[in-house]
Amino acid sequence: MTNFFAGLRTSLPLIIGYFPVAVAFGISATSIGLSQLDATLISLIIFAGASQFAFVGLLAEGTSGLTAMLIVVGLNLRHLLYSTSISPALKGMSLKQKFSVAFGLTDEVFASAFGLLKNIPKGNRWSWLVGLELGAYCSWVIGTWIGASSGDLLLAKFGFLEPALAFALPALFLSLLLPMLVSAKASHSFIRNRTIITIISAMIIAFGANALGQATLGIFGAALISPLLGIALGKKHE
Amino acid sequence: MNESIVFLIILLGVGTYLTRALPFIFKLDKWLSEDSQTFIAQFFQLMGPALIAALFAFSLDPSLFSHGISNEVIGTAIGFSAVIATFVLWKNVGLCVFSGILAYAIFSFFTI
Repeated sequence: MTNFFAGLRTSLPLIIGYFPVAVAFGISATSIGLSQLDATLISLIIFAGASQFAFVGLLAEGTSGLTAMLIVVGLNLRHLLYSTSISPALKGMSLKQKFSVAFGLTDEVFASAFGLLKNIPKGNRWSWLVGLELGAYCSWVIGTWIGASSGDLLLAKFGFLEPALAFALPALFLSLLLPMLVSAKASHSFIRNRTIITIISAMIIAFGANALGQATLGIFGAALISPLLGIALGKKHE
Repeated sequence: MNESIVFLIILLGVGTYLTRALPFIFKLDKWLSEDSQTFIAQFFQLMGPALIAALFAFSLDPSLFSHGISNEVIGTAIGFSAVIATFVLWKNVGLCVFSGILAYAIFSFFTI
């Protein structure tokens, strides 16, 4: 139980960071016509910030449900990398225990757990991780519910919050891009780094297509063309 | 409640969960490790950054700069600066987003 509470304590920065973003998600989900229950259900079942914002953003743009789903699943593929990376630290856990912690392995939980797990005795890791994930999950779901249920009231009273909450989506994706840019910067040839070429070309393709009113096509195009450009033009190990 | 939305949410939930749980069953290191030089591994490793970059571009309103340096442009610049500063200090995605929203909100409070 001590380990569980230690994990819960470690989740405090996640709780603080998640809550306002979750409120913003709840507000944006209901603003496109989803019910409070739908919005809360998204956070309850999916629990993946970037994917949820992307899903709602794509639906708001009139993208079909199936297309939005394909893009979001593509976006989620990075989680395969997370679980693969964290797998060695979970050695000794039963498959049931691994499956139970798999649900909560979000970008932020992974980033927190990846560095800290090795300092925790093997036998205590599962309960520690459950505490960490539960704190983040509760903050995310409660924040969404508050945003979805009181968003209208909140925005009517504090109108200046509306543009700030709309900024949550670009802020979130920039936050996810920054670690990639920093690790690419560490290589000798920044400009010929595959990740950098991929990121820049993807942004150009998506922004151009969005300006032409072809947002969905742009996202698919960027996902397929940019990695090819990165492989063709960049160097992997400089 | 819209049933088709609920169905999509459940499908997405299952899809998201599988991407997190499958590596615990199947050994994907060979395909996904950073050392792997296969084309599939390289393509797959770059697809994540490509999608995040594309969604970042998608999240920016193309008409943002159509009215010159507007309050929206300044607010966005302030928000991004806060995100970057928070990342440099704490490297926590949640806090980065929170600080970006907070900085934008403070700016909006004084300009709206």
